[in-house]
Amino acid sequence: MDTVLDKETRDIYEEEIKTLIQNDPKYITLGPDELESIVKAFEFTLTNGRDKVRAQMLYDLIQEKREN
Amino acid sequence: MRLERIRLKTFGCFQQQDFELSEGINLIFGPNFSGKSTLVNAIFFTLTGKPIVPRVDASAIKSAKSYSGTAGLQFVEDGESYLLFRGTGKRFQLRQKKDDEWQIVFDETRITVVEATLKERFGFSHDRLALTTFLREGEIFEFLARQPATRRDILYALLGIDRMIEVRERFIDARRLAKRESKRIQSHQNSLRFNAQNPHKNEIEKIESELQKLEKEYSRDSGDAELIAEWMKNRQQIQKQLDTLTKEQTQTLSGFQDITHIREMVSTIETAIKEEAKLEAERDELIKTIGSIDSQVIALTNVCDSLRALIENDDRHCPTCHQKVEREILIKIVEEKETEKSQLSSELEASKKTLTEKTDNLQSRQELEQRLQDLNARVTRLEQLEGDIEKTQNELTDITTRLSEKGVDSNTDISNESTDKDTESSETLDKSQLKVRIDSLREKLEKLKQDEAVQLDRLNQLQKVNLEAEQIDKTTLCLELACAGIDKTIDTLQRQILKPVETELQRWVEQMELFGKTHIDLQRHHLLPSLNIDGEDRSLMLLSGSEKMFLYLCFKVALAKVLGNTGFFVFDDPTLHLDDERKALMVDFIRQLAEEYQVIVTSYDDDVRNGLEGANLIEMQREQ
Repeated sequence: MDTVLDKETRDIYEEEIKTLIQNDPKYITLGPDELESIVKAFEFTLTNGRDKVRAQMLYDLIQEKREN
Repeated sequence: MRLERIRLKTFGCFQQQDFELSEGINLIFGPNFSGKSTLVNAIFFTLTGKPIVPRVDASAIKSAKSYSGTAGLQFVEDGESYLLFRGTGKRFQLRQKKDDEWQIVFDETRITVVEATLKERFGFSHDRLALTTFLREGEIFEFLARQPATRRDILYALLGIDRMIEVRERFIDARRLAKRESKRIQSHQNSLRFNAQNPHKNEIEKIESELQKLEKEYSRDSGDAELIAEWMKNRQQIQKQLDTLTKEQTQTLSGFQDITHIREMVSTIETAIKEEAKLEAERDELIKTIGSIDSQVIALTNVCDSLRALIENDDRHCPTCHQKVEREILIKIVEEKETEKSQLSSELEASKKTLTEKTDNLQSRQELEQRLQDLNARVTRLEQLEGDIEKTQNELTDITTRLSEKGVDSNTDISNESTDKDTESSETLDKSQLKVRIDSLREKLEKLKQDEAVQLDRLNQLQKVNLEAEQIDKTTLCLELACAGIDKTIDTLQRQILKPVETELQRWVEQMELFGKTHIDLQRHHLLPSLNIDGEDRSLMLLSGSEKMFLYLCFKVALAKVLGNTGFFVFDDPTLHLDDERKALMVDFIRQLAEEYQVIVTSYDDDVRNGLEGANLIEMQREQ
C-alpha cells in the first residue's frame, strides 16, 4: 500500500468514524478531539506497521491526546 | 505480460526441455501421464516458488534422478524480455535480455527477498496468481469447500487490506489494555467506595437522635434543676474567682485610683529620674571644682605661712628670686593672699554645701528608680488582672443570662436547691445514670465524627479516582470506536474493490448466457458468489458441476481484470467432466478470452483440440 492509498484509506476511515459517532448512540459522548486522536492513532499504525507499534503506544496516544 | 518459453531441467518427468509459447491460445495436448500438468506446475512454481497443488512439498516435484530440479520461464513485460529460473533447492535467478545477451539482474536464495522483489517488480504473489490466473484440476471444489474465514483471509490478501487487519489487531490489543486498566481502576474504585460508603452515617444519625432524646428527657425529668444547679455552681465559682481578682486588683492599686493613675506616676518618676541624671553630672563637676579650690586654698595657706615666717625672721629676701623685698610689701602680699584664700575658702564652703545637697538628691533618685520598678510591676499585674476580670465577668454575664433565660434570679441561693435536690435521692440516681449515658454517647459521637472526617478524605480520593476512571472509560470507548471504524473501513474497501469485480463477472455471465437475469454479490460470503437469478436467490451449491465451472472461470477473469491481470491465464483441463455441449461452450469461452489475453490450456480431449484449431499446439507424449 503506497502513500496515496494510505491517504485514501485514512480518509475512508475518518469518514467511517464520523458516521459511527453520528449514528451510534453508544459513541455520542465522543467529540472532535476523540475523532482526531483516533484517526491519528490509526494513521500512525498504518504508516509504521504492526511490528513497530505497540498497544501501549496507541493507548497512550489516545489517552494523552485527549488529556491535552 | 506475455509468456514466451518454458524451460525445464530435471523437473518432474522432464530432463531438459524447452516449450515455446505464443500469443493467443496455447494448447498443451496429450494423454494422461504425458506431463501436461507438470508444465502448468512449472509455470506456477517459477512464478511463486510453490507447487500449484497445495500440501505438496517443493522437493516432491523435482526429478528423483537429480539433486535439484529447475524450472525457467521466459516472458516479455513492458517490451523487455526476462528469464526467470527457480530451482527446487530454493535458488532463484532473474535475467534480463540486453543487447541480445542475458544478463543476471538478481540472484538470490532467500525466499522472502525473492517474493518481495517479484511482487514489487511484476506484481506476482502466490494468492493472486492461484486465484486469478491459474485453474488447476479440482480447484473449484476446493474453493467451494473452503471455510469462510479462509476465503476472507484470501480476499484480504488479494485486496491488499491485510495491513488493515494488522492495524485492527493492534487496536484490539490497545482496547484490551484499556479494559484491563479500566478493571484495575474499577477495583480501586470499589475498595474506596467500600471504605467511603460512610458506614457511620446511620450510626451518627442514630446516636444524635438518641442523644437529643436523652438530653430532652434529662432536661424534662430534672426540670432543668440539675442544669441550673450546675450553672449556679459554676456562677458561684466564677463570682468567687472574680472577687479574688478584684481584691487583688484593689491591693495592687494600693492608694492609686486606677491603672491610669499609676501610669501617670510612672511617667512623672521617669521624668524625675532623667532630671536626677543631670544633677549627678553636675555633682561630679562640683566635686572636681571643690578639689581644685581646696588645692588652691592649701597652696595659698603655705604661701602666707612662708611670707609670715620671713616677716617674723626679718628676712627681707624673696624666697624664690632671693632679691631684697620691703617688709611692707611682704605684709601687703600676705594680706592679699589671705584675702584670696579667704574668698576661695568661702567658695569652697559654698560648693561643699551644694555637694551635700546634690548627694542627698542622688539618694532620692535611687529611691525613685526602685519606686518606678515597683510601679511598672504593678501596671503589668493590673493589666493581667484587667484581662482576667473582663473574661471572668463575661463568663459570669453569660451564665447569668442563661440562668435568666431559665427564669432563675441570679441572686438565688443555690444551697436551698441543693438541699431540695438532695432530698430526691432516688431520682438523682436515675438522672446520674442518664447523665452517664449522655456522656458516653457524646464521646462515641465525637469518635464517629472523627472517623467521618477520615472518610471524607477518602471520598475526595474516590472523586479523583472516579475522574481517572471516567477518562479510562472514554479511552476504552475511543478504542472500541477505532476497532469498529476499521471493520467498517474494511467493508468499504471491499465494497469499493469488489463492486467492479461483480460488474465484470456479471458481464461475462451474461456474455456466456449461463443463466437468466443474474445479480451477483461477492461480499456477502467473502468472495463466494451469491446468486440471484431471475429475482430469486439461488445457492451456488445447487448449480450443476458445469455451471459452477463456468461461473468460477468467469469469477477468475473478472477478479483478474479488476486487480490487474498479469496478461495470461493457465487452465489445466477445464473441460473435464463436461458434456459435448458444455465443452463447446468452454471452447467458445477460451476463444473469447484469448481475444484479450494469452491463454494456456491443457487437455486430452480431441473435441477441444478440434475446437481450438489454430492454437499453438504443444503436443505431449507419454513416457515409455
